[in-house]
Amino acid sequence: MVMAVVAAACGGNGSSSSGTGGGDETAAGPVDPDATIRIAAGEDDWDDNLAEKSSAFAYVLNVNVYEPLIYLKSDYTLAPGLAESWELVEPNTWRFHLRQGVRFHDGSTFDADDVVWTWQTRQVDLGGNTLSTVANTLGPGSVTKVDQYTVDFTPTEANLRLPEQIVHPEGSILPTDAHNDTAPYLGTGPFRVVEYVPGERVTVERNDDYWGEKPLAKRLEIQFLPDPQARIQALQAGQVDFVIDVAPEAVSGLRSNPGIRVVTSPPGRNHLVYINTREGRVTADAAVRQAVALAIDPEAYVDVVLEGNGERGRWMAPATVLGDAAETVDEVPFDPDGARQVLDEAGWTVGTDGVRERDGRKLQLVLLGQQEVAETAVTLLEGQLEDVGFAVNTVQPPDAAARNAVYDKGNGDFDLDLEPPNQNDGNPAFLPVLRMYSKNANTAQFAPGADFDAIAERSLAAKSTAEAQVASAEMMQNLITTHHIVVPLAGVFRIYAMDSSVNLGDPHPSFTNQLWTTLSKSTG
Amino acid sequence: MGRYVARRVLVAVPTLAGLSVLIFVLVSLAPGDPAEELTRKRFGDTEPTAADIARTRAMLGLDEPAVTQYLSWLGNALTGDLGTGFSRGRPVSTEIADAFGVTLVLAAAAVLVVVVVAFPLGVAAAMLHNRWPDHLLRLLTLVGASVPGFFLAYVLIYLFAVELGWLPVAGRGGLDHLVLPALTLAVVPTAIVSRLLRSSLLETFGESYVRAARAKGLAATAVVVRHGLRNATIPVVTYLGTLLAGLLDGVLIVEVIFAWPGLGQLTVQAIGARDYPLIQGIVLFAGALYVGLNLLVDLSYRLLDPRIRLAGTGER
Repeated sequence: MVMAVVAAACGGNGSSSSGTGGGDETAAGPVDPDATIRIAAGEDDWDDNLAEKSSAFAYVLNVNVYEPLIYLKSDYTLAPGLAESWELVEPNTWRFHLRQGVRFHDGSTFDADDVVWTWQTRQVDLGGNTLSTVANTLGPGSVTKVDQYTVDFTPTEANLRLPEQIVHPEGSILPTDAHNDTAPYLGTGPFRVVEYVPGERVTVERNDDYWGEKPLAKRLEIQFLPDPQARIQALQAGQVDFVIDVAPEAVSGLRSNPGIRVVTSPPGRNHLVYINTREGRVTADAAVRQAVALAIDPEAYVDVVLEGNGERGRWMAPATVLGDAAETVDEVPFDPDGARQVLDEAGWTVGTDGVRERDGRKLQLVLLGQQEVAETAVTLLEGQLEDVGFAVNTVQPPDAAARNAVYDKGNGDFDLDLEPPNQNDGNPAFLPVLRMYSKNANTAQFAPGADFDAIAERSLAAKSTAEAQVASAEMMQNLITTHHIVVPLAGVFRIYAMDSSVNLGDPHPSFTNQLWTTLSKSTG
Repeated sequence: MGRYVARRVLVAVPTLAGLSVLIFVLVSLAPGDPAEELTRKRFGDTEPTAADIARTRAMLGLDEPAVTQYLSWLGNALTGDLGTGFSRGRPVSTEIADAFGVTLVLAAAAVLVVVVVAFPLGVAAAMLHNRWPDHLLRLLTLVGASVPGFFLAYVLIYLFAVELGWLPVAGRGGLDHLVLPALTLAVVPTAIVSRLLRSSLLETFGESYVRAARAKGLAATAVVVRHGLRNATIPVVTYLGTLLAGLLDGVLIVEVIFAWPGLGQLTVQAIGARDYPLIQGIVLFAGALYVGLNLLVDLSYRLLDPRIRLAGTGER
């Protein structure tokens, strides 16, 4: 059976027309087609070592210079990129029909050889592995040229989620023999690189030969300003027109400035608490996990930690990636009285110091903090948990390796794990399978077991995104309300600030998929 | 003089060797695993396996015993090869040279501000001792020496870039980009130097040769400039000599705030990336710089005051 999966046509490059955040406004006046927009971005974590990943391209230019075969739209649906269509050729081959007439920025023609170079040679044979969700499922000879504009991907084992995974900019297509981050930075995208000074600035110009919807601005001058306050001050001083990565605490001040607009994207990142279920931990008791979930107030989390720049947590991933199935995931109520009752019934009685205990064991939790999340998050969670009789000891590891040392100690030397994962591809099963599917590595602390694994396998075997969305929603329901292993805290907005003459147009919830083609400046 | 310099250089060798051991041990004991950091950075959202991390560790040479790693690094360092940074894949010596050149411009501008502002202030305060300008200056220098660098940076940006629009907020470009970071770096040393000069000059005013100069009827300004200042400058030169090395502390914050791609920003990035070779290289370089500048300061005493004899030179 050949199942055709042809994405709906869009304006050419995958941009959707909507995409709203909280309290956004738009600039009035006609668009200036010759505009140069000066952008302040965070640190350019430039890296030409190892996998040739670089933040200038993966972080700030995203899919604007190099393009993927498929675009991820801001509503998490797929749209044709360098592949006009794709289909599953049973049993296990994804066939991509490439767009014809596309040229790289040096004028050379894009065709199947470039896809084979990028995916088979660079990602697999040379060990580039920059997009491991896909590359890890490929082996020798997995990517083959059928004809000049047709390429087959045959994973070593069935990977029906491949089109949803391949959207990530780390899977973008490079011309044969080229490497990302190697001058002259030739892609096929809507912008071409004019200058790149690592750590300082990158300048791009509109690619007038672009096959799709052309950028509204002529030129983008991106400066890397690592200090968030300096980025804001640069906007206030008129040194830049547009700021990426605005801190939530700066928003209210910026909104009071009539010359500056703040635009937020829909949530693409979630703040979650994962609960350790391993034997020996106090949270191995399902009643304790349920009490934790009931004791935490997600609305207070949004108000206090995100200063209103987010949505109450309900899912593990953005609701849009689940499509209509999102509604099947129940919201866990904030119910501290219910938490107390659950603990009472489970035999955890309040001790003289206010901390509950059972059989001489204190209800003591170790909360694994997260550098990327504000300190107020930990303070809030500690307070709410202590309110129902938990004692909380927070550990704040300085980096991922130190975090993993805590993970690997015994059954995991923690009970609660605060994490802020992003959803950067269109695979609705990405996060629950990555963290809880027992056949994956490093899932022992959270994997619920056979009932969950059965749903996970259904999501992996789904032949359509819609089926995968239904199974993924079931996985989340299983984790959140059946086993109480995940507590959704918030969906987080990405925040941009800009001069009132600038418009972003379509803020993407996944920053790595943000196109700058809709960024414009009015002539007024 | 030559023997003195040679002796000081010889003394510097074990100092730097000790420093290198200390750095190596401290960096190794620091929490975190650069192999894992780098692998995770490379894998993005995907969970790397233990084998992935082990491959990175072997590629970086971190699977060798610590002593082997140190000796290998030391042997290379003696030939000027400080290794290759983990995070950016560039030779450490090139990274340091590039970044130091950028920092040197900033540091030189800051030292210039210190000299141009602090000397007149210090002299004026000494000459107007215990009068209102002296009191005002003491108050200002107290504030100047106490204000945290990051706070001052934001205040200066707000005043001169946001409100007045005279200067750029951050980034590297023309001379105008240099003004705010240089001023931020210069404020504390300016306060210290002016105070130092003031008290040093006041001491010299009591010396017999100054009193004699006054008795000869020389104008007050001439007495200060010709007789007082030269002697009063010695402690100031000591301070200025170490200031350049001391500024390396200050640039950590200033370069990040002002997006100045020098040694400070490089250090912050290296620490964040757990880039062992780069961290070791930077600290060793800073240590060598400090030792070298101290030597130059010691030698300069002789130029400022010929009465000073350098120990071990055999001079009489």
